[in-house]
Amino acid sequence: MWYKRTIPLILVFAIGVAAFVQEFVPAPWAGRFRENITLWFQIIGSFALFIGLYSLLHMHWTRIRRQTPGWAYSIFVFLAAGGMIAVGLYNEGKGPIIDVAQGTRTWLDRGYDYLIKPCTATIYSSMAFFMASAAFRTFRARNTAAVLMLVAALVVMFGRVPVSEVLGGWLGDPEMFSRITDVLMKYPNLAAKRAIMMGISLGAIAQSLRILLGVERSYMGGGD
Amino acid sequence: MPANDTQGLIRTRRIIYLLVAAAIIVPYVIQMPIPSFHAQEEAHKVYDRVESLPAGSRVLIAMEFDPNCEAELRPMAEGILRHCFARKLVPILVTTNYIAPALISDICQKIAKETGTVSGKDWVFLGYRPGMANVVITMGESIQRTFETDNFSQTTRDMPALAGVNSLKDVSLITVISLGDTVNMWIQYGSDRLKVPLVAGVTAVMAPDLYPYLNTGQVKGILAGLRGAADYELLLHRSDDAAKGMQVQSVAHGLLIALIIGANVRFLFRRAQGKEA
Amino acid sequence: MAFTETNTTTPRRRPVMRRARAWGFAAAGVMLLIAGAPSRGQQAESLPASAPAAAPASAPASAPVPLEIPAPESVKAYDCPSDDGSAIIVEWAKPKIETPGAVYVVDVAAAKEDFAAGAFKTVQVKPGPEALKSANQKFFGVSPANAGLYYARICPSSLYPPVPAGESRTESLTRHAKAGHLSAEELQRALAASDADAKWLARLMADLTERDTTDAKARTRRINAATYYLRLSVSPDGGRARAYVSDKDGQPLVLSAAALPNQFKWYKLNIAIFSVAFCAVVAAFIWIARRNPNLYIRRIAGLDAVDEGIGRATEMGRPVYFVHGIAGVESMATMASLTILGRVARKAAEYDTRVRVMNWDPMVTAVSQEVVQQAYTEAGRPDAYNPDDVLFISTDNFAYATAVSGLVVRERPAAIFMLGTFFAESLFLAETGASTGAIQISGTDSYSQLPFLITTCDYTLIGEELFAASAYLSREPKMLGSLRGQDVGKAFLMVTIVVITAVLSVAAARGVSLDWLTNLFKTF
Repeated sequence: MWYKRTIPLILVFAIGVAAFVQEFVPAPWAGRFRENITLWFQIIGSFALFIGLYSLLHMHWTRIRRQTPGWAYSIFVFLAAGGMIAVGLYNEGKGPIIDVAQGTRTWLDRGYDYLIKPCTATIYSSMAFFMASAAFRTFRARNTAAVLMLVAALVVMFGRVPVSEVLGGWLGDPEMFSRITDVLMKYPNLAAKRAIMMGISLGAIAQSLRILLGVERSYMGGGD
Repeated sequence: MPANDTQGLIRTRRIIYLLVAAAIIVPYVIQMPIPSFHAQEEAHKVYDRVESLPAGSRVLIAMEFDPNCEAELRPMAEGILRHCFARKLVPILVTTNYIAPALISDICQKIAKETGTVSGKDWVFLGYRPGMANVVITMGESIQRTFETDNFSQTTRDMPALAGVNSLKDVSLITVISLGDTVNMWIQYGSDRLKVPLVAGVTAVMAPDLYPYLNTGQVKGILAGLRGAADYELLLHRSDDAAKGMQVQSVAHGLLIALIIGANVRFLFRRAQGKEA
Repeated sequence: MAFTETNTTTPRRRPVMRRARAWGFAAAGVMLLIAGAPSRGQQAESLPASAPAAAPASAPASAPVPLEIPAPESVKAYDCPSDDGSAIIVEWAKPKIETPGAVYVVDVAAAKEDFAAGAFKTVQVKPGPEALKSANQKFFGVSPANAGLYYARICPSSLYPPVPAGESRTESLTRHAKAGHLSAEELQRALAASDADAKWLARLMADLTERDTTDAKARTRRINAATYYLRLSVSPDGGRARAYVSDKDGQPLVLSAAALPNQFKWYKLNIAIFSVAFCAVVAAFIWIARRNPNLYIRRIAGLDAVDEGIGRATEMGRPVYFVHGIAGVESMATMASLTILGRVARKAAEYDTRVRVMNWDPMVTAVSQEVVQQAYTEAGRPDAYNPDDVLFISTDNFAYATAVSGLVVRERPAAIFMLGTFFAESLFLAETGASTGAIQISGTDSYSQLPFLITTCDYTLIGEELFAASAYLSREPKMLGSLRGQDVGKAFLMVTIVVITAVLSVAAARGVSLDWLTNLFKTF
């Protein structure tokens, strides 16, 4: 197992230590090392893209072949991928790579405008529904901490919309809620964020060290 | 979970979805009036930063968003572009998001038509390059070498919009309009290294992530979500998509607040009856 | 001094600097290493100027402007510390009285003779707080003496660029032809290119630009590493009239220096020390844990629920879903989630429960396949491993979220693990999972997505808990030791923050400046 365990562990340790050291070295060799590592990463990544593509197409082809429930949707994977590649290559009759005249609406542009844009915008906007449903289900004044969070959430939500200035005006300061929102965002929110960030950073360093020292090996598959 | 509870949950969820849909569609249809409001402090900072630049200054605008967040971020991008053209600044647009170019090109052409400005002379859209942080780093060395041609295949070498601009160091301001955490990338590899001021426009969800940078001065101002865009329109004395979106946002937030309060009243009532823990 | 007698700078500058540095060493400890970091550059040397009056810029030696000239002994030229070898620093003491409107000018020449020939470049420095060394703590540290020293950062490759700036196409083509990169025919064709040749010309120019880019770095290094000669003068208005800082013979003082690459970023010394110390503490606890394996680690409910989730799936005869986040394999959160995947897959293999892994990144897909296959092998069920259960979906966030949600709704998994870095799609995924009644365990390092995951999932691993997962799940002493080390680091940070905030608050209330203490924790 030396080629599956020992060599990767030596590589991980050597590259990890070198990556740490180069962070503190201003000399050009450190920059070149970083560039080369990035380049290697991109090269390896592009091979992995084939694995990904194979995985995707193989899964959908299997679904179609076995006619598992909902198999017809898998046809759209081939249609969409094939269609976009075809119109991209066709390129208004000019063929691949050649630029079309500025301002020309190609079929690829139309695919972008009439398929990708509405689809992605729809998915993102559906978040409004999910957010409302999740907030309704979970925000409960169960204890003091929950009450504090509930009040803060309501104030921030209210302070973010212009109507808050009407109520603020009645209370003497139109921008009152907006200011409270700012204070909540800048202080309690930031304090909590920093605490979490510090924990994350220390956790990431400890995890890196476990990996570099070979204590943590499960990312290579299986046991420790 | 017992079956009747699950059914109840599904029913409640459907009612909420219907209410949210109504809260979003109705204000658009009946064009509800919105009360006058003041621009928030952070939007002022962004506006003042652009306003203070002398005519002819180059402003790099990193458009790191795609159609997902078009509703929230496009009004910001349009507002900043309009402001730049009004102040005779030269925007240099760029993206590291591979889905973005068509959208950005659309925005540029719309605003260029509206303001009578010309690509390559009054503004330039450099297009997309893969590599994320590497793009920012190489732009710090040379913009022309990173982007030999712009998005419309025009060579950048002798382009008037880039005259006197060799690298990112030569721009007066970096503006990042982003849906994700690409602002961090522009701060770390762009503004911090090259000592160029940076302002950001982000979705409301991502805004809290930028507050630490605001405190340290690494970000000079933030436009947060649709409200930030509406504030910017207000400062430009305009009422475009973001200002209109404030009607919808007001009603939707109102509905959400009502739902949460309603759910809590029910919860407290049931707890008093001993039905909830 | 070349034309004025008003040199009022006292020659006591160096003892003052020494005292300040000594004070700094005593006070600032670690940061003092930065402040007092000796330059590795060539030591400045004073050379007699042979014919200063011959240089056009120094010609009007009789200008009647009373200028304050920096003391000659305070002028130094040296390699910029902590940089990649791209700059030379010239520093001089700030005169006690400065003439309003006056500008410092540094002449830079590649050879001493160039001054006489007038073939030198100039760099101007406007006096002001921004021009003081104290304004650039990154390279010069925090020594109080820096508040009395101006500096000029000279980048030789900017003054003598490897590729001429603002070069026209014709100039570029001619230059490349001279260098032998183009044949005479190619040059002729390029210079007389018509519309029909536009594409050929564009390709040619792209090739030449690429060649410039490739050659530029090596040439830049050579340009920077050469020795340059420098002299300092003061101009009353930034114009041609100048008063030079002169040596004891009354000739303009000429110094020399070269920009050389340095091997350590002294401004990152505090980060290096903390990183090494923290790693040492973690490593020490790993070592201690080998001897004393009974370490107490607090319970993490989300991780205790892993077995519960898989058990539930087994009872219900439904699959377990493992949803990776939106990040590549280089992300620490992805690495952490891969370690949990190994554990989940082994448990699922033991219980004969199907586990399906959703991937956003192709490289994570490849690693996940390896991890799951290995887990099945270790569980003694290599035959049960199906590579099609480790799916690559899409690298587009919402396409990924939609596809995963579709699978969740159709296959109704009993347990869903959502681990890694997430963005806006987190709510979409988690809410869909919640609507199917699946038990959901999530974990992320994305601060902004935590509220969504906490409200929609049954258990959420917050930040560091995600990184602690592999150690916690394995219960192996060495791994638990690293967790203890992590906690010690955190305790140190907490105590430091509280103590230093208290000290600085008290100092501020009493009007005492403790900048050196703040500087210990400063990053550049």
